[in-house]
Amino acid sequence: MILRSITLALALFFSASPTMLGQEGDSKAATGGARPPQMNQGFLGRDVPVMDPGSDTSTFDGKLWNMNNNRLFRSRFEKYLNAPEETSVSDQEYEKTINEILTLLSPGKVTSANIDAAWKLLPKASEYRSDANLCNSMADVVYSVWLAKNEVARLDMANRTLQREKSALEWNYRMNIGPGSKSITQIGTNPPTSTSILSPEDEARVEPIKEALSDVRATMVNNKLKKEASIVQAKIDFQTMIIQYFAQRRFRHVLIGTRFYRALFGDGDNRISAMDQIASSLPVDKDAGQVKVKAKLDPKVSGKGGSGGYVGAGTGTDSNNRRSSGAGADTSASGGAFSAEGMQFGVENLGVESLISAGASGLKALGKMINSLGQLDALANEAIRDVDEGVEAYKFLLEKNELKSATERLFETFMMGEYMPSVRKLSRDDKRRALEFTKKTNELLAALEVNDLTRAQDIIHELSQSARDFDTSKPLAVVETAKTVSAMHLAKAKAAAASGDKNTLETELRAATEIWPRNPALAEVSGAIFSQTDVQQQALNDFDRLIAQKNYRQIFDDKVRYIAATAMFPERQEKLKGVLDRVQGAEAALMRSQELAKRGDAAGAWESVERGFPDYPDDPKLNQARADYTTQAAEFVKSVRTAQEMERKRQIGSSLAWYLRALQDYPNSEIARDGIDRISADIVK
Amino acid sequence: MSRRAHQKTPPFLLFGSVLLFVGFAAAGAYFLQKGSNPYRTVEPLKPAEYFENANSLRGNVYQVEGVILNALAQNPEKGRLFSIGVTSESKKWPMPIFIPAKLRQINLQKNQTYRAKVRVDDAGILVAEEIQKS
Repeated sequence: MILRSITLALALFFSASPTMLGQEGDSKAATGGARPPQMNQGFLGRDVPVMDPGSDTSTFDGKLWNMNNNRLFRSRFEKYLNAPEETSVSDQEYEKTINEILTLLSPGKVTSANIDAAWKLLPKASEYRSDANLCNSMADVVYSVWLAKNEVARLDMANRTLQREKSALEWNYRMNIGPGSKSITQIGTNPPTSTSILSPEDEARVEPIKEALSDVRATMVNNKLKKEASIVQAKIDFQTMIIQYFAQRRFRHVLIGTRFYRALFGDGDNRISAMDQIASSLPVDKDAGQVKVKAKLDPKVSGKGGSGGYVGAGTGTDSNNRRSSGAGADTSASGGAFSAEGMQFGVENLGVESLISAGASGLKALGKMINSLGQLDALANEAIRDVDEGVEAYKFLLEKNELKSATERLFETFMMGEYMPSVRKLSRDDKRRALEFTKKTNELLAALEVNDLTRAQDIIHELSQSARDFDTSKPLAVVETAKTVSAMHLAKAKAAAASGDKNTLETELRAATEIWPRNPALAEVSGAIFSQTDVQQQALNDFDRLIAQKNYRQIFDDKVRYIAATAMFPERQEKLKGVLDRVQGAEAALMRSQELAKRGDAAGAWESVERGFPDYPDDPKLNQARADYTTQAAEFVKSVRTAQEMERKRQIGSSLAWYLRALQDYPNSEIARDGIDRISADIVK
Repeated sequence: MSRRAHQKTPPFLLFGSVLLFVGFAAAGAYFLQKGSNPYRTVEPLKPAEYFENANSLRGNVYQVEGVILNALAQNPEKGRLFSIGVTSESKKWPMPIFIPAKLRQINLQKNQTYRAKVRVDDAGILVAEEIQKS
């Protein structure tokens, strides 16, 4: 708990720091517009850091920081991991000095001589670098207490002197009242009072004495107040210093301070009033209202079989402009799982003023909870123990090669007990392994930040090799997902390139590049796409040109090329299909004619060519064959052509006669038979 | 009794009788043949001209004689269309001939020779007005 509270406090501070250093952001985005417009802008605006303990992240000004993975923490931790162990002679002497001070001030050994001896050791302890002059500060505060105490003694002495002077003045007063003075006693419902009535002469004589007596009395009262104030101020100064040391995680200095305090202020009053004073000194704006934290619990619990685990958290703003955060967890083990969700926390009226108000209230509450130095002393001792235990746990986990847990424990221990001897004495070799792991994880983060997925995957592999407890599932899922998405974009880019959709090609290539800039397939695919695009474009140009020239034979001869090129162009594909059908028809006619010619059936060969001719009249091959067979079956060809010509001229009788003659010449003639059927049907209809 | 000497027919008389018989036979055959062509007054069709331009013969009436080659088409209401092979100038000319429905009683058999009186209609088709087996 101590660890958690300190970590949270530090996290809040550090998470706010980047913004203080000039990070810009949309405050409205951070608050989700929840800030009442009538409220004034305060220091840092109304945006305050909000920490999500579930995910160890902090949100401020629309930005999200992972408290464990921000640069400040990482650099500080890495600095520690790189530092040598503090086991030098001077370090040992410092340790010995601190222990000596603690021993001198330990309960049961407190004497004036020991206090003086301990105080004298403080400047010596401050000479060591590790102390950061904190002992000197403490020596100054102790000295201030002594000065305050001296002042009190002086005031006591002054008051004693004044008391004597007062007694003398009172005597003189009484002696200067003459016999002419009367004493009147008033009797009534009230208790009887007696009043001296001085004569004018007596009055003149005692007047200076009365004034002097009055001055002495006033001085005595002032001295008494000064004495009280001096002690109280000394106590508050001392308490503030101890609290500051506690916040700085200088727990042994806290112990020294509390022991000095008890020795110096032996009145048994160990109450901490510094927190109340700090709280009362804060500029609380009552108009700012109060921060309201709302929690809603709607638990949904379920169990399931299998294995796996998931933890998630999120923040958002609801319809009432309330910022809220929710967390869900699904923890599981092999063979069974348990999940629970439905807890929501909402915060209203967040702002610096309201937070200051809340801080003041919190300090007051904290002052009530930790209201004595004894508690602070116990917390410091507990923290020291906790830190020592953390170091031991780190060493144990290191032995087990569980580097991830070890590093996390060391990080937590470091954050809490950065200046503790057990932490500072940790050997460089021991720290080195955590450093290497930390560096690798930082490299992994950096690789993921720049989407260097190959590098990230290599690092994940290395981490899984070096740290037995490193869970590769999450980072690998990120890497694999990104790779898949990149591959999908590349596939889309390829498709766009094939269809000539340049806009989509550009968009998809850019998307693929953004997801995985160093994707090895990117250059390869890009090159292929562009070369393919060139080849395809060339083929398409050739196709269009040949279509315009009606050079279908050339298209037919390179049909594989044009089929590939026009695959994504439906209009061209349709043209290509028509061309191929025509040329294929002509080709079939040619083949058939060649077969017939081989059998000496010139008329049949001619007719075969002639029947393929209308489909592709410009085919040179077909024309050549047609000419050849025309000479070989001249009579038949003449009959057919004359019949066709007569039919065209609507000389039906002659045409039919010529068809009949053609059929007579070549009884297998389909042209003649078709012509006869056609004209005959026309005649008898 | 005495045997009478056998009297021989004179040879010139026998030769003259044969010549006379042959002459009568030829004359009879000539006259018989002349009498079997009922369209002998109708001008025979010249196939070459028909092939050249049938339209130019439209309205004319000819006689044609030829062998039925094929039935090309028929319409019960209008008639039947045949191809007929006409021999002319030592060539065989296949020609269409339309037998209208009014002549449906005549059976036209393939490979049989018919003689017909035909008119060249507006489409240049030979339309039989009369036909008979020859």
